[in-house]
Amino acid sequence: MAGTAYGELLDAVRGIRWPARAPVRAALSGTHQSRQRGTSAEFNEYRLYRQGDDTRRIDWRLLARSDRAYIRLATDRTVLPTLLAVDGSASMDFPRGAGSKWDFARSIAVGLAGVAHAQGDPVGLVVAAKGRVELEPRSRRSVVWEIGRALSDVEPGGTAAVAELLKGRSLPPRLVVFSDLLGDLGSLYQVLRAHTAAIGEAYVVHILSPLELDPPERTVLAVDPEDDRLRRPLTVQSRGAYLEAFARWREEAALGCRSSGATYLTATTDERPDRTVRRIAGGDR
Amino acid sequence: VSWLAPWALALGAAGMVAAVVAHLLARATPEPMAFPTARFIPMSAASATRAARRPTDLLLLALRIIAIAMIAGAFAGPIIEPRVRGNALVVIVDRSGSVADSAEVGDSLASLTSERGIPVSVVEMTTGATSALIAARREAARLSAEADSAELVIVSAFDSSMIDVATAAVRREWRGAARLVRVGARPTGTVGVIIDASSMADDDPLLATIRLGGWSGNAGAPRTGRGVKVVRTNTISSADSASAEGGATVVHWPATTAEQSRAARPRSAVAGTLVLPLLADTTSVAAGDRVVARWENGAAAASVAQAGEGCIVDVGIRPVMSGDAPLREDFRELLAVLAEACRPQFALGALDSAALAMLSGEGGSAPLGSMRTAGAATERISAWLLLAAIAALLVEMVVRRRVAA
Repeated sequence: MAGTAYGELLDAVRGIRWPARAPVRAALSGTHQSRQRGTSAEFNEYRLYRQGDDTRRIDWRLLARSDRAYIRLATDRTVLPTLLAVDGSASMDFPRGAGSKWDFARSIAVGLAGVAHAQGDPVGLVVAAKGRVELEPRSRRSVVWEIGRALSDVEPGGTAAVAELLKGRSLPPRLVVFSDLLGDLGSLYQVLRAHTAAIGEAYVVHILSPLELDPPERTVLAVDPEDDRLRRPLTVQSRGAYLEAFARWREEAALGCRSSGATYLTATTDERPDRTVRRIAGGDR
Repeated sequence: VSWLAPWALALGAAGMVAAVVAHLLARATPEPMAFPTARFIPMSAASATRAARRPTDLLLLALRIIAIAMIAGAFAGPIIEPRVRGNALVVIVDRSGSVADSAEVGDSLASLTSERGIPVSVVEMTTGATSALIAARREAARLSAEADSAELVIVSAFDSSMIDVATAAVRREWRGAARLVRVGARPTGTVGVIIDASSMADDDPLLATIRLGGWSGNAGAPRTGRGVKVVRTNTISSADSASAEGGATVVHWPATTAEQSRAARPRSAVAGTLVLPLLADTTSVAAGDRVVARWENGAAAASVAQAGEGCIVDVGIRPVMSGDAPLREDFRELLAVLAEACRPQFALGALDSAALAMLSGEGGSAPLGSMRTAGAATERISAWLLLAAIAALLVEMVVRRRVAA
């Protein structure tokens, strides 16, 4: 089912490369440049032999010609385990039904999972919703299907925060957060700072609805889906102030995420998911 | 039901219309919509003005309209009028001295009240029509509990002395016609009066006046049975006093006073009192019980003192002893007034047609609703209406809170 639902998207994102933003500290052979210089065939440079270096890596031919001991350095390729963290709180279920922020977030999560898996990276999933969903990063063939199925089974709701789900757990080098950021931003910044400080890379994909960016001009009583007590009339008079406050908050959120070392991207639900995936993989800010 | 202040009903109607319009345009709670970024909307009351497509909260609207209607009704002063109960009769009967025979008044009153079985109220007129009309209006207000209209009947001799400057205004307060029933008036002048001039000197000029007036000797028997005696001495004898006690009119007109250069001719009459032109050597008399003639400066020229059944008229007017003054008509009139002074009021003649038309008025029976005073019943109804309005407002408050919740 998941494969059928996301098949078109996965076809569209096939061939997209999602390179690591920095050399990766990992041992397994993969497609990403490793921070380790190894013995692979991909020669990089020579370096003078230093005591302690493996003598097997000395280029004996160069030693014979130059009477100096050099060792060959080659770039290792490794895998980049990736964790997709999707916000499944009640605020993501907007507008209700098809075309919601939740629908869009899970589509691009599956698309990114397909991209990562295609280049051999283990992919995992955590979802902060009514019921917690956690899939450790795996490289097996069915992992994209499993992620798609898990996301399809989740019903958004509640007030669970992604940051709380990520806190205290061992995170893989690459972390992608799909959220509307309406939860506890301070906690998220902490998680991001801790992750990026530990040579990981993080992406924050800010999911927005066009209705939030351009609310209806008729008078409505806006009710926060995560806090029923928060009710405010959205009128023609208050609309301008709302737009201004919302834009200011988005700027602050972008600044906070970037200050925390994460790559911040916004994505609106009226965008094609494969294009969003392409933007994320390409590091488009 | 009639209203003391109908304008309050108009205000209430306007208020009800305003309430309906305000209800439709009022600060209705707009349609709720889940909106994740609601926190960025500025703080304000969770309601906004919008025009309702169809009326909602009809119970609230009804309670508000009821409250406004009750308040308007209370301020309008409702008067619940009883069902039609027919006509009443208010009779003003003349008990003044201008009526010749009080028995005739009684007969007229009896004929008026016996011919119909309706509420009747009788007002006695003793001092004038003004006070009698005021009393009649008061009686009409009292009769309003028993009838819805009243007919006014005035039984009187319609002497001109019954009206004064305020009568017309008071009469207009009675919004209906009056039926005028005329009874015989006391004769004006001194017809039938016999003046005893036995104590007068033969050359007394007053004697000529008495004879010319036809008041001496057996000129005719007085209807009242009371005679008039003119005393020309400076003091009144005990016999004269006894005559007065017996019912006679003793005119004490001393003859020893100095002569005057001209006669004191009466100029006008105000409220039954002659006013005489001021003379150079005017002599005043004590005011007595009633003054019948005054000098222009207000001093009493002739006064009446009641003495038993009759009275003593003390006169300070000095008649000329020569010339034609005692023979003139105005002097005879003066003497006639003095001779008639014992009567409560001397007659000035019958009312003219304009005055009678004023008393008669126009229309039919007067509606008593307009004369009814806003009494305790109206206040009670208003109080109940206000209580009902307060109750409606309390219920409205409860309902509004429930709706808001």
